[in-house]
This record gives sequence, C-alpha cells and structure tokens, in this order.
Amino acid sequence: MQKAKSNDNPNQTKHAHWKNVKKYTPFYLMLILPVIMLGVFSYGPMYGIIIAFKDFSPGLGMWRSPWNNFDHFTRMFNDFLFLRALRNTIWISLLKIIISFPAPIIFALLLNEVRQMTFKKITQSVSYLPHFMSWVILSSMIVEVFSPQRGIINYFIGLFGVEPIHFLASKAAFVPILVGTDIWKELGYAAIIYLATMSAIDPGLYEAADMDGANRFHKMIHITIPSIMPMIIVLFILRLGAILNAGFDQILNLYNPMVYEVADIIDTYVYRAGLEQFQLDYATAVGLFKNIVGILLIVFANMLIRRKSEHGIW
Amino acid sequence: MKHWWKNMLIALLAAVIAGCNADSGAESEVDVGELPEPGDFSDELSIQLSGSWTQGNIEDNNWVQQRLEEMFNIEIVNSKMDTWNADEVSLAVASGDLPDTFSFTAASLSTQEFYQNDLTRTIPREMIEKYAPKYAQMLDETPPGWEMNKAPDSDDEYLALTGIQSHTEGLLWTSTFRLDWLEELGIDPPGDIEPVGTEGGLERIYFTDEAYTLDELEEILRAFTFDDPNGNGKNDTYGLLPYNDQLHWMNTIMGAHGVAPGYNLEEDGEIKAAEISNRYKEALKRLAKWYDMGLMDPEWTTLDVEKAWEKYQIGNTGYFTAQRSYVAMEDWTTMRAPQNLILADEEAKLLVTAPEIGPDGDQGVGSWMPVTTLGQSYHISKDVTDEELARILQIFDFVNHDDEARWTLYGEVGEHSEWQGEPDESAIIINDEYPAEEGDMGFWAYNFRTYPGERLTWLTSQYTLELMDKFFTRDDVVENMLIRPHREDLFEETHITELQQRYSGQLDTIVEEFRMRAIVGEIDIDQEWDSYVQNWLNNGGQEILDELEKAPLVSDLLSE
Amino acid sequence: MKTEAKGKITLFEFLNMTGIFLFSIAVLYPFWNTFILSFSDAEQASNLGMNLWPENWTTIAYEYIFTFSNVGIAYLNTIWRTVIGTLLILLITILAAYPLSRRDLPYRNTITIIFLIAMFFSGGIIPDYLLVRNLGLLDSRWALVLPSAVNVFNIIIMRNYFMTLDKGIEESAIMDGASYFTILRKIILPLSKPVVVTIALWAAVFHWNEWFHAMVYIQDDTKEVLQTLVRDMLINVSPTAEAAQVSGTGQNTDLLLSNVRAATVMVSIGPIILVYPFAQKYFIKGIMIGSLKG
Repeated sequence: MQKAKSNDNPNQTKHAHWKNVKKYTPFYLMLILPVIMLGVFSYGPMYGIIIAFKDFSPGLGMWRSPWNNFDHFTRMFNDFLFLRALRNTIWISLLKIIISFPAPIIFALLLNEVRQMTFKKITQSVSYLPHFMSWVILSSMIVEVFSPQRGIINYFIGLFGVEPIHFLASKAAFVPILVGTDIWKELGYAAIIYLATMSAIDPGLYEAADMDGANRFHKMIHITIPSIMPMIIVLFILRLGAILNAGFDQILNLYNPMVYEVADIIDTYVYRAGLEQFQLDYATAVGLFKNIVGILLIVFANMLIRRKSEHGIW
Repeated sequence: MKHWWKNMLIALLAAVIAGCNADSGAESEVDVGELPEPGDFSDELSIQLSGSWTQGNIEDNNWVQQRLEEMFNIEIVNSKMDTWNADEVSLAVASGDLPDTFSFTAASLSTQEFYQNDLTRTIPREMIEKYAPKYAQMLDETPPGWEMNKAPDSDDEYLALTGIQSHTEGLLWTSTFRLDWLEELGIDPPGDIEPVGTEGGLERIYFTDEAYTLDELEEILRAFTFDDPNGNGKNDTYGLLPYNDQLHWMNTIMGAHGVAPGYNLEEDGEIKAAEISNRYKEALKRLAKWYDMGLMDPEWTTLDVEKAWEKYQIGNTGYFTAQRSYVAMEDWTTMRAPQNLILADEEAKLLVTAPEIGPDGDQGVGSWMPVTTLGQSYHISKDVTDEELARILQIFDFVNHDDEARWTLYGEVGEHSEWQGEPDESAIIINDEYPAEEGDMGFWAYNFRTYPGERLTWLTSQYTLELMDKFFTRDDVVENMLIRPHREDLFEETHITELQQRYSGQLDTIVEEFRMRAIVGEIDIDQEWDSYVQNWLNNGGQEILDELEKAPLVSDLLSE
Repeated sequence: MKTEAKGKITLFEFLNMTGIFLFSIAVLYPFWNTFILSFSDAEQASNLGMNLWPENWTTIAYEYIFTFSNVGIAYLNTIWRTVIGTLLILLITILAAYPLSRRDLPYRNTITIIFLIAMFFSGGIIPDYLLVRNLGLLDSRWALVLPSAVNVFNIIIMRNYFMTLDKGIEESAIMDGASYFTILRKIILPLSKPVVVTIALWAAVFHWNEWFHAMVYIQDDTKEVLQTLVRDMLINVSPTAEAAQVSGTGQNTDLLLSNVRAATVMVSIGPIILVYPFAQKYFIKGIMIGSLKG
C-alpha cells in the first residue's frame, strides 16, 4: 500500500488517498468477479464453523444446536491417541517438507540441463504419470515391491544374504517409505511450476554469463536458482500452512496396526473412528484446529521471510 | 335461517379444528377410520421411495417402477442417493434431505436418534395391522416381534418397521482344511465326511459336523507348515493365513476359547468386553505361540482380506475360515477363499468341519445378530402424511412380504432370470443382460432387507440350504455353538450407541494395536495385559460397560 | 551452453540423463503394470507378484465396464466440466492475480488476507451443500464448476509470477494511453504464458480427477462424471463391505477384482495419456523452449 507521508495535512491525506484509490479503479473492477465468487462460495457457507463449538443435532440445525463449552477441543487434547496422531502428523509432514519439497526443484534443475529435446520431452511427460494414479492402485503395487516373499527389494538384499525384511510392518522403515513413495508419485508433477518459472528467465542473462566464461554450475547457482527463488518461497510458505496434512490417502492405503505408533496421523485417526460421518461437530473442530495451526504458521513464516527479502505472500 | 348460520358456523369451526389437527401430523392421534380403506388407491400420491439396496443407480421409469405405480396409483420419485455410501448418508442426515422411506446400509444414526433428531415420524400399530397385515403377522410369529422399534413411552406407536434377517440365522462361519494335504500327511478327518455336491467343484468339498480339538489343530497346522504337504520338496507352505482388516480368520479359534470379538460377556461375575476378557487373552496367547512356531504366513500384517483371498488361491495355505455360502460355492462368493482355489486347481480338495473344540470344551462362533433375527429398520420420514403412510405400508407389505412380489426382485423368472437348479427349489439368478440391482429394470430398488417366508430360498442355493439343515442352523448347534453377547441393548433404551460412537476410535485403536503386536510377539501378553486393560477402561471402556449394565440380559430376552 | 559443441555429452550430462532415465522407469512401472492387468484375465490378475506381460490378452474387463456403466456420457460430462471449469478458474485467477500483483494497490494486503483466509477456513460440506441447493444448482453441471472457481492457491502463484515481470513495458504502455485491461491482455498474459499454461494444466487435472462434488451434487445419471464411476468401481463395490458379506444378492463378483479396477483406471486416465503428446506441443512452447535458451 502506498502510504501518505506522516507530515501531510490529514484532510489532504484523505483526499489524496481517495484520489489514489480512484486511480486504481480498473483494478478494483477486475476484482469484482473474484470477490463476488469468493463471497458467495467461500464466505457464504463459512458459518458452518460454529458447529465446532456446538453439540450438533441435525433436527435442530446449525444455528439452534446448543453450545458446548469447547467440549470438542477439551476432548481432543485429553485423548492420548489424538496427541500421538498429532505428533506423527507433524513429524511426517516435517520430513516431507525437508525431503519431498526440494526434490522437484532439483529434478527441474537437472532436467533443465538436458539438451536432448526428445529425451527431455519423453522423460518429462513420463514423470507426471504416477500423479494420475490413485493411492488405492499404487498401494497394492508398493505392497508387492516391499513384500517379504515376492518383493524385488527383498530379492536384491537377499542376494547379499540378508534375511527378508517386512518393511511395511516395520516401524523403522515405514516413515521413510512414506516419504520415498510420496516423492516418487509427485515429483514430476510438482516440477512443472519450476520448469515454467525457469522458462521465463531472460536468455540474455545466460548469454552474458557465457561471455564471462561461467560454467554450467555457476549459471545454475547465480542465474537459475535466484530466478525461481520467489516461486520457491511462496510454495514453501503455502506448504507450511498444510503442515497438519501429512498425506491421508497415502497413509490410509499403506498402514496397518503394526505401525500405528509411527504412522497414525490426525486424518487417519479421525477417519477410523468414523468421526467424519457421525460426529460432524467434532470433525469440524479438528479441521478448525488444523487450519488455525496452518494459518499461524503461514503468518509466522511470512513475517520471517519478509524481514530478509521482499518475496512474501503479503 | 338462524339454524342454518349456526350449523354453518359449527361446520366451519370443525373444519378449522380438523385442519389444525391434520397439520400437526404425527403428534395427534390418527383416526384410521378417516383414511382410505386398504386397496382404495383413488388418490394419486407422489412418494419418494428408497430401500436397502438404493445405491444411486436407479433409472427413472424403470420396469418395476412402472408396475408399482400402476398397481398402487402412485408416482414414484426415485431417490438417487447411495445409501451404502457413508458420506452421502451423513450429508443427507445432516441437511435433513431424506427420502420418504429409507433404510441406510452405511452406518448412520440409530432408530432412536433419527426420531430424537426429528427426522422420522412414528407409525401407529393400528395402521400397521390394517395396511400391512402380512408384516403384522410376521411380527406376531417372531418374538420379540412387536417389541422391536417401539416408540419411547408408547405402546402403540413405532419408530420404524423391522426386518427379519433369516439369512443370518445360526452359524455363518466355520473352519476349512486342505483335504488333499491331510490325506498326503495321513491325518484322518474328525468324523465321517461327505461331499457337499456332485459337480462344479462341490464334489471336491467335503463336510463333517465333527470337529478337531485346538491341540489337534495345532498339530495339523504344524504339519501343514513343516511336513511339505504339497510334496514339492520346498518349505513354502503355511498353516494359517490371517489378514489385517477383519477378524473372521480367527472366528473359530476365538470361539474355542468361548469368546466372540465385538461382544460382551460375563466373566468372574462381572460384565466385560470380549477384548479385555481372560478368555480372549488365552486365545491371543495361543495365536502368539503359533506365530512364534512359524505357523502363520508372516506377511499377514500387510494383507487385507482381498489380498489374502488372492494369496490363498496360490495354494500355499492349509487352513482358512469360510462362510457356509462360500463352501456351497454360491455365485457371489467364487472369487473368495477357500472356494477360489477349488475353481483354480482341479487337484485341490477341501474339508469343512465344525468349529474347533477348545480346552474347556468351548466350541462355536459369534452370532451375526446378537439376539434375534429381527433387525434393520425401515424409516418413514417426518413429512409423510397419514394418507401417504397408509399407501407406503401397503406397498411395503406387498414388495417385502407378499411372495407374489417376486418380480420386484427378479423380474419374471424365465424371462429376466433363471432358477440356478431345480425350479422352486434353488436360488434365482438374474440373467447377465439385466442389471442385478436398480438400473433400467429397478430390481431390488424399493425393497427392504428382510427375508420372510420363502424369500430366503430365492437367494440361497440348495447346497447352502442343505448345509444349514445338516449343521449350521440345527437346533442343537444353534443352542451350543452360537456365541451371543451377555447383555444387549436390543430396544435402544440406553446411551450405548452414543458412547460407542464417541469412543470407538480410541478403543478400536487400542485393541487392534495390542492384538496385532501381541500375536507377532512384539508385546509380552502376560506382562502388558493389565496396563492394556486399564488403558481400555480409562479411555471410555468403563463408561460403556457401566451403561451396558442397564441393558437387558440376552438370556432373559431369549427366554421371553 | 552454446559454446559447448552440440554433439558432445559431458560426464555430468551422462550421469544426469542416466539418473533421469532410471527415475522414468520407476514411475513408468505402475502405469505399465496397470495397463497389463487391465488386459489380463481374472486368473492372472489374481496372481500376486510382478506382472510384466499378460499371458492371455483379453478385453473382458473393458467389456464389463462399457456394458454396465455410462462411460460415454460420463466422458462427455467430464470433458464439459474440465473445459468450462478450467476456463473459469483461469478467468478468476487472472482477474484476481493481476490487481493483487500491484504492490501499490491500496488495500492490497487486506484483500490478499481475505483471499488467504478463504483458503484455510471453510464451513464444511453441509453449508456448502445447502448453498448449492438454495441456489438451485443441485443436479446441475454448474455445481461442479462454480464453487471451485476461486482457487486461492493458484491466485497467489500467478500473482507472484506477475510480480516478477519487468514493470518497464507496462509503464511505457500506460504512457501510450493503454488501459489496464488492454495491458493485461496484450502484455502481461503473453509474457506469462508459462504460468498460465501451468495453472490451466493444474485446473484441468483437478477437474478431471474431482469426484466428491460430483458425488454429492449430482444424482442424475445423465450428468454423472467419469470419476464417480471410477470410484464406484474402485472402492464402493469392494466385496469386503460388511453388509455384502451376508447379503445374498447375486452380484457378479467374478470381475470385481484387480483387472476391472485396472481397466477402470486406464479408461479414466487413458485420454489424458493419449491427448498429452498433442497438448505438450503447446505446453512445451510455453514451458520448455524458454528454459532451453540457456
């Protein structure tokens, strides 16, 4: 926002301010349609959040159902399994942020270095494929790959005389498998935006660097990465906001009671209890908690980043 | 003139009062005499019908719909929600968009909760007797009949219509062994055996109503695992192939310890959930011992039941539990174990026995329904008027209780469907070119899950029926081998459903985790047992047990 | 790179390409496996382990799907919603992103935060459903595209991209008397092709895969979309449903196994795979050529 200088006359400031706003009329006109849609379809139904603080009864409806004194929230934090799920959610999510988040960036950088167009085209389109497969389908293949009896991984480690390991029932192996399969599924699709951003880099920059005798690595460090940095930062902040979503579909299709201790996340726990269906009020409270944590993290991360650079979300 | 005015005024007043009464609907007394007589369909009504198989695949103006509309002078508005889908059901309930009649297969509210939430109306007994006489007769004949689904504080109002689940009577599950392996190993069957049928694989499935003891089972599982029963010289077989998402694989073994998972029981003079009872603990210890001995396929912790069926079909498993309809090779079960192997491998033979006998002589499996075969509820939505209810009751009585209405399920036998075997004695199978349910034909679309009279025979093959007669529904078998809960809230008089909904997430997680880790030996059962039980009680279990004390004893319910 | 000879492959390039190649094999496998399963008979489909080639080619699973479901209509509906839905998302995203990319716009932060809040808080499915019902959109295809038209994530990404553009050209256009609408259309958008194409792709994939709204808002069979069909096949008919265990109804379960599931997946993603090479031509113009110029 353009701020009027503090030593200006207040009246003048106001006047200048409105004149200023008027100048931006075309922009506000553009915003009309998005804001109307946002108002109707996002803010319109937002009153539903109140059932997080109520004992929802379908007969009474959302407005008339009685308030319940934060009972849902007390219940959440008195349930040791919920707390365990919260801990697992944060841990798995952090690992995914640290490992899965940079992976597509590296992939995009590497792909960017390939000069054979056909190879590049084919590999790039192949890399999207798993994104289109649902976890229901992928999980049955993953189970086969890690099977102690038929799995290819156990076949290879068997060549070195290692006894078969039942990876998916092992607490130590399960979370790394989650992170690995997550990368495997989403890497190519997630790389698209970085490739798109790279394509906007002014070729002149590279040419100038060539003149200076910069090698491939220098160009990557000094031109490519800085150019995609704003995009990386924004995606990173948004990813932080989703920290309490650790991959519901993936875990639901891969886990079993042997690994609940490390793999049970908030969403799977709430799902197993059938809470989504029959305790909409409780499920809404859980969702509200997740989102408040998410938005707090975004605000915090944005604040930190704004101190160092100008690329924030606001 | 004066009198004329007076009469007019009285008539007007009466009409207004009557009008008010009609408006207040369910709360006022219904004057059944005012309603059209049974069979009087002169008013055309529009009714939104849904049933137990309504899964959103119905097409408008389907074959069954047209016939019903003509018969009862109604316009059927088809409900296209999927009543088997939990998301759709919960949305319909929460937003109050319910069809006029409904019976959800996806778990939802209890009958009491529907009523308390003002979503359903009551049904007067007088109307049931007048408009649904066949249904009324079924209730008369089947205890506890009229006690089911009764409205609170009322003797003649009902919250829902009740179904009869005659297909779940008696034992559903029992044990099967690879008979060819037993022969190879020189192990005798526990009693005389006879084939279930004469063709199509049934001639290789043998049945006996005798059983092995648990110790004998242990020896057999050991031999299945280590004595090369398939004679290929490789140590590639296992006795047991459990799965991780259901408990049916251990039904009979639990039963041999006198416990049925999911039910409550009395032990040491107090009420307990099966999962915290000493009998369950003993059963777990035995399973843990077997796992330690190597009798179980170690991959089971990551196999769901479908994968387990597929794996059984490879032919490396010796023992598997099965429903009676599986071993009778009903059409809908052919991809399931163990009969999938019979179809895949012409050398394979199965032995079906009674459930194993435990150390204290216990034998059996949990019953499908806790107390009576009466179960399932057919609800009438709140906005249904008395006149509509009268029509609905007549349609209900016809499609669900009149044998003439077979066409609502199977169309015309000979044209749309065929007898599987002997006419009138075997199951009916809908021809391939028609949708088995709903679609443009509308079969099963308006029916309730209830199988009174001869209906059971329409959907059950003669082999299943024979097995039921010979063993699974025999009086002494039902008496001795069917494990029922100790107490059951049959009439929904307590808050158990509510508590279970609230705590099931915690309790199930505690139980599942302990069970699986105990079996594979990650947990020392003796050492951890007390803290496990305490944990269970502290996380809502105690509250549920306390509430359960208020529910009637199943033995009392049965003797009535 | 122009200084390097075209034909020579350096060690780095060799390792790089080998790595990318191996990764491609790894991601190709599940697709190949599904493809093979869809043409296998039930017997082979139920064989556990790796399937690399079908023993007997059969189209029985496809016949089943095409006989018992409205795949044709579902395709049309899915294509409709993908096209309209993508255009709508693009329109709204561009209209919101451009003003919000102007650092000098008064109330910019407030508006951004209003958008952000909507990304995080929603009233849940009941009020959403009631809203759609009250707008009279139940059983209308518009219910599939209108509620999801505002995608805040996309708006922020596009806004950020716009912010990285050189402001110089814009300023000179204003000097020439061009309106902001013209600038957006004639200057900003052409310069932003890569991000527009990316967001169009995201939106299209979202609409192609979306099933929940379709399940909840659409009941009329003639308006059913592909993914609700797929979901029915993948999950709902799972023979393990408790109720199905004792329901004696004669469902033909011979086919409800891996091969039908695989065929369903092929039917639902097949078009994307087939159309992709053609779309990629345009896509590459937007995305890849630029990056090659290095």
